[in-house]
Amino acid sequence: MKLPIHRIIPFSNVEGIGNRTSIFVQGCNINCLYCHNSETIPKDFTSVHLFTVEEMIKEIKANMPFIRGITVSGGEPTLYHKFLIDLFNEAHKMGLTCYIDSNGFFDKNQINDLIQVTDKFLFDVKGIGKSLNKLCFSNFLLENLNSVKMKSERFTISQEHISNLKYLLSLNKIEEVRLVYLKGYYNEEKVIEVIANELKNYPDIPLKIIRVHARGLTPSRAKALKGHIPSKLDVEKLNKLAYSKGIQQINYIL
Amino acid sequence: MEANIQDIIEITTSRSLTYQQKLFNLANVSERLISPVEILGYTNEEMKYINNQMICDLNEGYALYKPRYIVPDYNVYIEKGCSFLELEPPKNLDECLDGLLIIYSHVPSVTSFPVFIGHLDRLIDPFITDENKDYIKIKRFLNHIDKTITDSFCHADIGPYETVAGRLILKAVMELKNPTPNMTIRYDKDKTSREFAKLAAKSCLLVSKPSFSNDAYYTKDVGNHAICSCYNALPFAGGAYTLSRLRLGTIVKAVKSLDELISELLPKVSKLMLSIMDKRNTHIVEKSNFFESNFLAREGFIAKENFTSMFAIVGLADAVNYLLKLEGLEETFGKSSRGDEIGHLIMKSIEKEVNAHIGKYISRTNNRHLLHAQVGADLHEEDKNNTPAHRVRVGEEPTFVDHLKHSASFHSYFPSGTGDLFALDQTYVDHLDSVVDIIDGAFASGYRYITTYLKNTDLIRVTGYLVKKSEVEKARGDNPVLRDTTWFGSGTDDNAHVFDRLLREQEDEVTNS
Repeated sequence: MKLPIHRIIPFSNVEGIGNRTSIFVQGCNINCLYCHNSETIPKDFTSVHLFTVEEMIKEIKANMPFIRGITVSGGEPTLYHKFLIDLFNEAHKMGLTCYIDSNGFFDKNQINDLIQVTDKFLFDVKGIGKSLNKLCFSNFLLENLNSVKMKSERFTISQEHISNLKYLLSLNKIEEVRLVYLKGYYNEEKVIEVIANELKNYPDIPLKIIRVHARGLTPSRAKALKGHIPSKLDVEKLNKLAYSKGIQQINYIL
Repeated sequence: MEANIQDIIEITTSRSLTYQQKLFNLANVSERLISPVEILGYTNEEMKYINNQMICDLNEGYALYKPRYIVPDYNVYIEKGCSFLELEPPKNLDECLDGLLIIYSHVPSVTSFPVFIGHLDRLIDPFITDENKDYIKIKRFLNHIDKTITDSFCHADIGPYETVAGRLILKAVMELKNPTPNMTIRYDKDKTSREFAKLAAKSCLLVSKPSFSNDAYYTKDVGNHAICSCYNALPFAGGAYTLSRLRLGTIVKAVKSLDELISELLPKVSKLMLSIMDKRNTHIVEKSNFFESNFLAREGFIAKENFTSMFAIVGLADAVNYLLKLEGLEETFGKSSRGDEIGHLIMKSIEKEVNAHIGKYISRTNNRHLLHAQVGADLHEEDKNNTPAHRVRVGEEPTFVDHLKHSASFHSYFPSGTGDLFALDQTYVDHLDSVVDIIDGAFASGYRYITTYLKNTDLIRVTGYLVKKSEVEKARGDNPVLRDTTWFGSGTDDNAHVFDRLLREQEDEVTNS
């Protein structure tokens, strides 16, 4: 079994606490309009490195003792849940913590073995409701994603990703919840309410609000964002709203 | 280097030196008007290797009358006062700070300014009664030091334990943004709280100090010590008589092979420098009457039994690069495994000589001169060929993690001090745990000392001391500047481009996965 790797960042300070090695897998199950790593979306492995667990461990070991753990991001790491179980078991033997940066669009029963060996999740709430179809599940700009259509029902109607968040919170496996804020795709007040409802029993877990930006996007993606980028004032307003809904730890990035 | 009458004329007529800088430079010139052959008994061969620039005495002078570095035990003042200065033991914070300032102006050194002003948090903490009021006093005290001790080799230590005074000192240092005093946190993750370490790391990013010293490691090698001047680990209540340095980048140019360097020339030049250092130590102890006359010695702030001396190197990278080329390799020190091998062979050759030599008047360090990784200077054309210490040349740095591992393997040679510096990007200010993780990793890998600063700040660490980039620009425009170290910073940047160290940044990873 091999893991398709888009890129490895030896020292990262923004993917969970402390200095960590960040591993970006190739391949995603969704297609967000604002994706800044859109080259990691296709499950096209012709130009990426394929690593065995042993090879991954060698890469990670080279960064010790300067790191306290690894964070797998992407792409969507949970697509590779079987591989990651072995990787995390090996990393744990070396005293490293193992984090996953996920969009929450997974079947928790299917990946439960991975969840058990994951120390923490960085959990992106992409939104709720029908807007997700357009924002994350469309084939807009990428024609090779048939799987995205399958997501629609499970996540726009039954909100399975929010149940996943609830489940991970109950296991004490959430490090932070993130929301990329853009206007006009979802009702931000409702999204904040949903998140606040989940976090109410976990006052120490922070919500990070990230203002969407178009810097570095492909031109067609940048065009799709036109008119949807919130002002700094909007972000501050959302921050206040989140406080008023009872979320106690909030960071926002302008 | 010997001085001449012309030097006096140049100093007295300079338009860019302040009055005080002229005065100290004149004193230094006068020490060098007398031939070391005459006053110290240097041999012709020793002179030959000084004059060909392989050995550099850093213009320390020949008519020596004080040790180069003095590390007073300021507790003597706290407990007994100072009879020479007619100071009673302090009864409150005001008296403590005032008394220390008075003593500082009487502590000699090679720069005529104190290179060590105490474990400030330990000295001050017992007098803290009201955090808010005392903070104002501490800040004023530190600002006073910056404006009167106009030399950023002046060094204060804090840690390893967190104290109220330690926190107030860091808060003041971050607000003042002054070059002086230089500062070190003696860090030991078993003793220093994580919160205090993070606060120090934040300060180090924002104002380039304090640096982190591996306290357990230095304590194992030097015993009771303090960090002073740039990053020198020296015996407490003592110091170092002298510091001479081998310019490895210059020495290497005289050989045809690595073997000739490590089997013949380095042992020979090392022996000559050891002999020179013994002569210097002997003169200070036997002839200068320093210990007989100086109040610090007479009242127990220092004792001559607590002195050592520093055998330093510069230009390891240049020497290695030269030899790599000789071997036909297109590689450079820091990115070459053969380069690392050569570097270790050079250091082992020097270390063997230094450890084999029984030195004069340095019983405190087992009669051995202590190896030191000197941060460079701008005294001669040859300094352009000698990168600071064992550092990788700016512009030839490997990746962050490879750089850490590479330099860690060289720290062990230098019990009296070495250190590496890394310019980090802004994201680390909000992720201090990452910085402390890197420092913990560095110390676990054998690092003695590390500084992490933000590249875009005005106040930066040149090689071991701090300057304001804006002040350097002033100096380059031929304007008088308050601190002598601004001149050194300017020269070192000209030679080693230290303002342009590789920025360690991450890509802009907004995780919109």
